[in-house]
Amino acid sequence: MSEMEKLLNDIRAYLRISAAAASKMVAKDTLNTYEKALIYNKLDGKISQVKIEADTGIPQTTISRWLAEFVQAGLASPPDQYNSSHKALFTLQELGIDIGTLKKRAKTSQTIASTSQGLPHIPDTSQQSIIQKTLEPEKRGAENG
Amino acid sequence: MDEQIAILKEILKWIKFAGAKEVKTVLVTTLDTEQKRLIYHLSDGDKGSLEIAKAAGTSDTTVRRYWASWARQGIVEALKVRGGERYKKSFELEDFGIEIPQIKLLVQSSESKPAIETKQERLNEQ
Repeated sequence: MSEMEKLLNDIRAYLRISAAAASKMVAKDTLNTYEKALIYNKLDGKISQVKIEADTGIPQTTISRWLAEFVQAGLASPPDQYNSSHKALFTLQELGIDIGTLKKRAKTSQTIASTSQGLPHIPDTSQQSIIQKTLEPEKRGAENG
Repeated sequence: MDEQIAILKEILKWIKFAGAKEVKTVLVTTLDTEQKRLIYHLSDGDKGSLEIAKAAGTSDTTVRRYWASWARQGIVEALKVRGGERYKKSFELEDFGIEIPQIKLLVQSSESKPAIETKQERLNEQ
């Protein structure tokens, strides 16, 4: 390894840890469900949204929206000349996120929505998201109780 | 070229100054046992997992598991070698005032079991 490469490696190592530390708060807010963290963890710069949908069962429209959120939050880079797809800038570990502790969304929320709250079942994903957000306190309460 | 290296050194100096606190926090949090600190210190990219495991009084599986975890944490970098992958520490513990355990203290009972592995560590690994 040349001296220049060594210097660049050292610079990258320091910058990466500093950036991860600075991004922890926004990561906690953005990667706030199991499914979001799961998808973020798959972003290697090569995987397609179709493949992510096949692997996770999450609709592509939702995936697309979340990827835009990740980029907006500075946690992922969009496709470019080097990466054909989105790329996570950090690992979950660097961001201090333990995927095992995150709550799952969608189906659990729908169940709560239709059983506990007596709300009609709404299959549209964007509406599911709204319900999920609305019911999050009740969901936490139910799980804690 | 010399001028570029001089500029990079200058950049690195300031980045180290700005990022030292975060790096130390990650190192102290992650390397929370003497054995981990020793394994990390010995991970210079030249030594293999077997050699390091012997010095630290543990198994090479444990060393490789730590390497994988530390790579996700961003404190080691992977190096391709014949027959697999090795990891090289990205930081020197001495630079952050972190004490390095003495190898000779750790290898005394390495043939039977990890010398400094505590009961709690064994529980954590299970």
